[in-house]
Amino acid sequence: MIIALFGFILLFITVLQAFMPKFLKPTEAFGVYIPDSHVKDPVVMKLKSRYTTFVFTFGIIIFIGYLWWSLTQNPPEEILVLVSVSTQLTTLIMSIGYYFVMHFRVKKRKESEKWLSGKSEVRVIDVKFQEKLKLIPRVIFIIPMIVTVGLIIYTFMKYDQMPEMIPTHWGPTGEADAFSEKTYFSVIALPLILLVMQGMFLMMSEGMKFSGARLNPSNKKTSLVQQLAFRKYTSLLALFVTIGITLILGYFHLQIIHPEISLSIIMWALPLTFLLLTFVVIGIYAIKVGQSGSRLKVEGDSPLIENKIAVDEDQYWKGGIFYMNKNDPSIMVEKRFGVGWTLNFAHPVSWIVFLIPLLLIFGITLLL
Amino acid sequence: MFIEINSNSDVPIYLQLAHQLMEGMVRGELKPGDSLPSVRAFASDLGMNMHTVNKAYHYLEEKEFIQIVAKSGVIIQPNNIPKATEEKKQKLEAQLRPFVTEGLVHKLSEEELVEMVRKLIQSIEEGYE
Repeated sequence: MIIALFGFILLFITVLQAFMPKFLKPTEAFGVYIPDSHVKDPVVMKLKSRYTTFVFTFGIIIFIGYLWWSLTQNPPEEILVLVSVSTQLTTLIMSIGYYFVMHFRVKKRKESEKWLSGKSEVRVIDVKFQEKLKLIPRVIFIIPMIVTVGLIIYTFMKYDQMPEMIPTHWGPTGEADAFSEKTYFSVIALPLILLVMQGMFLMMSEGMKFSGARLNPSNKKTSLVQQLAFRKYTSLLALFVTIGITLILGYFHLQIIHPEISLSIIMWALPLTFLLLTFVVIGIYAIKVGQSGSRLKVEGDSPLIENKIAVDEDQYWKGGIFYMNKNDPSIMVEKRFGVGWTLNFAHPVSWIVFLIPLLLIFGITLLL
Repeated sequence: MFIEINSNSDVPIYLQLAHQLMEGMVRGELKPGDSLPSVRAFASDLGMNMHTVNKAYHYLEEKEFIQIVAKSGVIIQPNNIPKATEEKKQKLEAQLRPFVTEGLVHKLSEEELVEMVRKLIQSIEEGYE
């Protein structure tokens, strides 16, 4: 069971990382801006396919090695979990390392071939972008948070009924395997963590309103439609995860108060189903929508204007991964290499947004 | 409505912004009462300092082309913009004078200058596309 689960995750990471260039905008290769006139550059194309081949081969070898080791050696559970996580990290680190090699190669090629000279860098803005942007309304994200607050109040009302030892961790079979003494804090630790996570997804959806849209000057209408769709689907994804964790953690918490509703089949099947479903949804998101909506087909493409290119922002993308631009008030920005969002680390607010939830969740678990 | 800001241009960004918004008003793409993006959202899209957008908005507000309302945001002047007064006309004339002079120094004829203005009006009304 554990092997199947971790094996699936390992395979998922391998495929997602290896085929990453396929999910991205053609104008961004390994974190480097490529003007439209050079997106089909043979060297860049070759580097992309070499990256995919290398990461995929390496990942599959690790995957097979992992399966062979775990199925033949029958390791004890702690070691199995440790090795499983290490293999995932190995695949990730290897792909990131190879990414950097490619990043510097593309950067060098762009500089030596002078792809930007003689082009005018243009910034395109749709004045009505905010009006056209359709995100899940804030209130939909707030409702589950109110439910959580209600759960906390309910917990205090039922405090006397709660067991003397509060479960804080559940094993893969859904059996509680770690406990804390009953205090006013430990009884609400679980809903508190849930509240922090719900808050994170609310901020993620709201943050997209304050994130600058980068439209492609040579393909304005298409990139506008793609950007709007990308934000809508991200918002939907955030809602899906919020509802999922609310159901799971809510159920886990309620069954501490009311052991009679606890069913072992639900206890292990619910998180597992949600985990698998999340992977499927993320897979669909990457394949169907793509980064910045780059995989969405748009009818009636506007013609290419060769002389106009987007503003080259490479200087703000450290290593092509970390965005640092003091002037840009955006907090959330679309990743260059990866599907999803990252933060503008030139603003202290980004660090606060990034660290506070982590510190809160870490703090809550430490205090238990 | 799309706005295009050229970062290699000699024209300051805030003026490019203001001019393009005004062109949008001429074309009717921005109608009286239409809302404009908040300073923050606009600056985010530009990837530029909020100060730049503020400057453009104040430039337009001074001309009474837009209204900056606290809380509800920035809107295109909802009352119809009246035809230029005699005073306003004189001011525009004075602004235009150096350009016409430069054209005359470059040996452009009256017809050529008039034709230039006519073409400009056409391109503003039709937009770039």
